[in-house]
Amino acid sequence: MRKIISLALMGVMSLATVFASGCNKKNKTADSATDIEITFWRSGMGDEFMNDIVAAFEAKYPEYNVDFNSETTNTAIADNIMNGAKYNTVDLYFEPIPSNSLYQYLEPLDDILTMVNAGESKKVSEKVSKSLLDNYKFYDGKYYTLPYGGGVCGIVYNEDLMEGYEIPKTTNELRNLVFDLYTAYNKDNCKPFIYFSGGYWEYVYNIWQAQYDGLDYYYNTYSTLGQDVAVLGTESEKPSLDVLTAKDGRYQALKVLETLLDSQYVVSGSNSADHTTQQTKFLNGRAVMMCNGAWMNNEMKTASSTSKNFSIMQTPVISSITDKLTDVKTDAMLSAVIEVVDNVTNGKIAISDVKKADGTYKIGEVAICESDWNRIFEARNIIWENYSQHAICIPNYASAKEGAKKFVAFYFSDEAQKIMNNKTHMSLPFTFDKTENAPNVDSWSTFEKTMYEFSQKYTMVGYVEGRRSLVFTRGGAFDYAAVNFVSAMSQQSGAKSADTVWSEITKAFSDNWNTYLSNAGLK
Amino acid sequence: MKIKFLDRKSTAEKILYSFMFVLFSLFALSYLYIFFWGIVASLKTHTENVMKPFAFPEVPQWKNFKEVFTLFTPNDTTFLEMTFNSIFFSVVPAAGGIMFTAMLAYVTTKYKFWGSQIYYYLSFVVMLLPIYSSGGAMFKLIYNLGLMNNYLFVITAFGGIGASYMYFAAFFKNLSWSYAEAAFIDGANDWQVFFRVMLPQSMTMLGALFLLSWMGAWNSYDAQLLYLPELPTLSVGIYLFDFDMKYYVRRDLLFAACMVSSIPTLIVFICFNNIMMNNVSLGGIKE
Repeated sequence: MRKIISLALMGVMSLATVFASGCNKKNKTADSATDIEITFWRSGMGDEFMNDIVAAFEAKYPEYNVDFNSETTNTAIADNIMNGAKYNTVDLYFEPIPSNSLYQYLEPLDDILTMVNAGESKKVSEKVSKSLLDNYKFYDGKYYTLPYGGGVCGIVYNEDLMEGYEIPKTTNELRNLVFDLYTAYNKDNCKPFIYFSGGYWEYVYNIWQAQYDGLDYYYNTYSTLGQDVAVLGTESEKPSLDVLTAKDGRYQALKVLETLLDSQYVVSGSNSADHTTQQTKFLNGRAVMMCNGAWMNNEMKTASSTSKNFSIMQTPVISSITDKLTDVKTDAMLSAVIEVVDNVTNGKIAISDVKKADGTYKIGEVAICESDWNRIFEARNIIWENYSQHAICIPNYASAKEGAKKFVAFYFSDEAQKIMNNKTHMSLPFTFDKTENAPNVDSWSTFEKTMYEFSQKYTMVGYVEGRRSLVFTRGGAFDYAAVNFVSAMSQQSGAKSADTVWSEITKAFSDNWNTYLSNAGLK
Repeated sequence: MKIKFLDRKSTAEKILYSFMFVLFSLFALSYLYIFFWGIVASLKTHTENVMKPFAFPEVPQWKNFKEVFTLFTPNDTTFLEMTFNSIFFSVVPAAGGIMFTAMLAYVTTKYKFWGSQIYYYLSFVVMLLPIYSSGGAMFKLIYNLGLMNNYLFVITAFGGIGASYMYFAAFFKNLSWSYAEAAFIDGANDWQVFFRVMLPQSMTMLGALFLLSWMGAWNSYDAQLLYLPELPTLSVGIYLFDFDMKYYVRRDLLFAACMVSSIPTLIVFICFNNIMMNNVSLGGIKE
């Protein structure tokens, strides 16, 4: 045996000398103006579509060579971009949105938005949803990042289990629905909600916050703490703690969650398991609803298929919005207005059918003022997007900058988007140059069709990293002061109320305010 | 049933030993159960693993083991490539490292020269240094030497100092020089004395330390992840694949890969467990 081991060792060590002389495994692409090195975050979308887009680009522009690197981890940008050209040769990132502090290393992409792809007539800016592009605009009005993936998000539900139940239009209706579903399905070990480690609820509670406060306040006061001063930094306009501790839409959203997160309504273990485990359970009928996004189908396609049908509901309007309205004071009335709003949005009735000459809106036999209509219309037609968590960006030190820009413009061509649609059954909020290139969704599942429809129809609300206050982006503050309220509110014993959670949040903001300012360089 | 071992024990001792036996048996079973559970899990579908984690498979999915060789490709590295990397980055550093250590320990304990004691204290210092305090400097050194993603990275294991050095130093210190003197009288030179007389006497310990070092290197993934991300070993592959599970939902495949990758260590342990258990125990050399 000793002899055998010795011989084996000798063999391996001999091989070692052969391999050692081979040095590095990977031959890196030359760092030239025509060699485009791409780092791509392979999220729930996968990377199959991207391989095809790269191949299509290389076929169309043979003068360029693309070195495409797909990664599961999503930290490459933070690790690499600041190290600069000395440590990496990446020309183009498809990664999560970079933090505010990294924008100084990025190339403005405004000229891409004005480009027109060969054989097309629309500029790139005319093809991507305006409300989404707005979420990518930086303080200085420039675009350093552009969208490449992600999707619309909200409450996804099992259509088979929801049969016979009405899709809720308000959060009070959602609460009643949850109770009804619990009563009907608890005996089958099926709960109204499932989630993972507190995850994905932000897709609805942020929308409820924006619905209650209004988009203008949400973006221009809350997110930027009332100013653009986080960047301008004049002493008199320093961000205000009052904005963070005001009992605004966040508190109202917590009040809604309080009614949904009762431990008896959620699948046990939701606070600890990972998202694919919970999605597997959801797809197999362990729960009726789950906050999720457009990628769910694509992400789960490698697991065993499910025979059940899924769809996404338009996020119910927060019932407490009636506090802010003049004429609409009851949930029933709010629901009635929403029904009319939906009919207008879906083109079933014309706005002229409800708008009267005096500016009021006729809902059944009742007239409501224009401001109420506008608030409800806005609240009903917004949807959370996580497109803006996915960003295309080019380091300003990239050697293949022009080639990278050409690739990005190509990414927004009909040809490339068609590849993405067909491979992933997902879509950007995107208008094709030629309508015949728009995806034929006939073969798509109900879930995919609804997601596609929503992505084209509604106003996108998301994190606007490039315009958020430095208190958030550099100071370390979080919207809910990093209090893990989903878990706290859904404990089997000792669950916290919305008021308790809110007290903890405001206390955390007050205690840490000076630290946030100091971290953000504002003190 | 009569247990000979307990014949000469008092009642209290019998109770104590029986209790300890049950306790250790349960402890051993807990390890065996994990392995058993892993095998069962690797034969189930992903959905079965999530929905019924403790049930047996409805239909054993033997194809999972086949798919390990085709679908388990983190960083575009095939299973066979990872297996080769695992063998290379475990056998070569373990064998080379142990040999260099043995030579260094022999020279510094048996040949008196200025500074021969330095290595002894240096080994102490190296062992005391937290890995993270030297991590930054180490990374920069490896990067600047061009050893990142390079098979030559194995030379970093040939330093000769560390815990193994202490074992060998203690061994050679206590080994009588008379053997060497006898060989010298017979006309052997220094190399011959070391390789043909002194080293063979440490073979059992050398073998045990090699096996331990090899098993450690086989299972290690931190250094490989940091310095050799493009040359993943099986343990790195499993780590990366586990990370991939965030977006690539095949838990069944992950378990199958874990089971397959544990086969070499199992074989080695089954063949050589006596060497390992008899010659090295926690805290020092038993011999």
